[in-house]
Amino acid sequence: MDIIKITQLAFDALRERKIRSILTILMVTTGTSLLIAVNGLTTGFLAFADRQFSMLAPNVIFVSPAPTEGGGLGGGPPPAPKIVLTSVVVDRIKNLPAVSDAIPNYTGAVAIESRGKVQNARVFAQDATKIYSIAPGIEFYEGSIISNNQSSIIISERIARPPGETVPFATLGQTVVVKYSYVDEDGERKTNSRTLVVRGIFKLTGNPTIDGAAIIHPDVANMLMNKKSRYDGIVVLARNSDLVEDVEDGIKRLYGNDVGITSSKVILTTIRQFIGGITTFLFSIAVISLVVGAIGIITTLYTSVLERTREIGILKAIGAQNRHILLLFLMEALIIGSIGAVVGIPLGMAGGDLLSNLAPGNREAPPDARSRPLYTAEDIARVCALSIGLSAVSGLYPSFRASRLDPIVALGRL
Amino acid sequence: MDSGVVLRTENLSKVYNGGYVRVAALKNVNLAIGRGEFVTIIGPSGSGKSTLLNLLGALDRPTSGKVYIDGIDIYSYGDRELAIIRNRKIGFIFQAFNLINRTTVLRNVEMPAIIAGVQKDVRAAKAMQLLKMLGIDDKAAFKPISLSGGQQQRVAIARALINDPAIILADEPTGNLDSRTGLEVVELLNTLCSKYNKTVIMVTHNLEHASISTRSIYIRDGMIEKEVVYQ
Repeated sequence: MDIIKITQLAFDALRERKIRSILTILMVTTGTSLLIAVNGLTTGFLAFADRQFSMLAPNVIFVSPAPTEGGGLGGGPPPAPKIVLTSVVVDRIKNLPAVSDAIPNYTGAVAIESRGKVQNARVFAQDATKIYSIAPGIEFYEGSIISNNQSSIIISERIARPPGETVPFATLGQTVVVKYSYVDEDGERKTNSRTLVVRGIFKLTGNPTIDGAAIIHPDVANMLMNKKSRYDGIVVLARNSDLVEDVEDGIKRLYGNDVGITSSKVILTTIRQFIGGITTFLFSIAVISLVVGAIGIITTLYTSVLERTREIGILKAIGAQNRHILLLFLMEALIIGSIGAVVGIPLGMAGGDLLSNLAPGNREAPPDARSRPLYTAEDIARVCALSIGLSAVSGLYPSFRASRLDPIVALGRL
Repeated sequence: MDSGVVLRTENLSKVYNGGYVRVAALKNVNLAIGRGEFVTIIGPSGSGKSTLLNLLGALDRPTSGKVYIDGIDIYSYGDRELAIIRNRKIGFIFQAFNLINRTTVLRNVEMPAIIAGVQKDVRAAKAMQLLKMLGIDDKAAFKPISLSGGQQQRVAIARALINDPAIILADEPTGNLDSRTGLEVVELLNTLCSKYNKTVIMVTHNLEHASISTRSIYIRDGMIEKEVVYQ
């Protein structure tokens, strides 16, 4: 009996028990589609994270005052940081052997007024000419020259053209008013403002922090935000990416735990580890669902063996060998697994796309700055092999039982 | 009738172990059946008729003794070879027809040839030829369940003949049929012997049917009690 005939007979048997076969296939389909969706979403998100962090140079290290412990709610106000980032600190870090540059910055939340409208934005104030050293991947929508002019402001595309608005908030060459409110030492609320000219509009990156930001000159920010020359952070550039750890060690030697040090490499690794953990959890659920499908196959086939005992006996009486019976039932398991995989893969891909489109962050981001599910041929092949393989393994026991049935027992002749 | 022996047993015995009870279903049975012979096996219930047929048909293994088909000791072979012997040398006809009801009459008849790996056009032509010979070629596309008992037994006979076996084993093939149809089936089996030189061994309770055969072997308590030759 050739494999084509065995396949036909297996199809006939599954067709005879249509509802049960469809339900079992549905179990495998659910597991397969879950695996595909989880895999695709994770791979897509990892690629997205890589893309985002590839915008940052790999030799970048962020230094900030270390967060203080204690205080806060119920324990009084949090103590002031132990370190104040001044130009002296910047120079000491800059003088470390493996450091090529140290770029101090101020950050703060400002309100930008333009054409009678107001938008809140996060401002990064640093030497704008060095922006490419930190983020070589940044691209400009309008305005390509970054000058270190004190009257300049560089805004993101989202600030310039808010989503859903037909009229731009601000255009290149236009003036805007940047306002910053704070409470001074005397307890008085003050608002500083400065009129600046839009000299550049950078393209969206998909990173919500960057995409809602504006870049201004540090001296302007120092005055505007009353920073008193105390920097909020320092971006340190190692001579090359291999020296990042040396630089981190050098800074640690200088300031110990009084500063917080983060590199783009560490952030990416942390994100990858986090995603890895979540993925393992979700993948486990998907695999469990596939295992449930496999148990369904065992149940279906085992019931089928019991129901078809006489048929097995007849086949044996007319000359079917044990391997024919084994292959016949195994083929039924393979057909269930294959149909489950073939239906589950496109369903999983569609489900992954749907979930991705429903995610709020993705809905608002422009198409090229969205985290899209990524389905590689290798991943699809792996899930397909897992579904079919698990189905075949599930079919082994019932098939073996069927093949070992004694013909006279199966025919009820004993 | 060809006088050559096609089937022979030598001290054939079968003991069933049912927990604490050992039942000797067959005790040292020796018989020889010639090619083209129509032999009936007669005996009361529990006498060992079906056990003997199972052993002659390579469906079960004896506790001791031997079965020779065409001079070959079949139980010296493994399960795979026994399956091939059942497929090529033996055709079974059962009381309950034992057809596969989800598939067509034609497919049922073809099944042993499918197992044997016969080409599709060859086996389909052979199956149709057999169905025509048995007068049920118009039922080829029907499901067996939609046929009468007599027609279903003819399908089973066609299936038993598809691989052109030397031996046909029939276990009370008329048990589920009315007397007229039963007699037709027995006469058909007789024709297979006289016209096609097949060896037919039929278990029956019906002495009228037995009288159509060439020889009757009476079994009681697992032993051959007597033999009656009719011609």
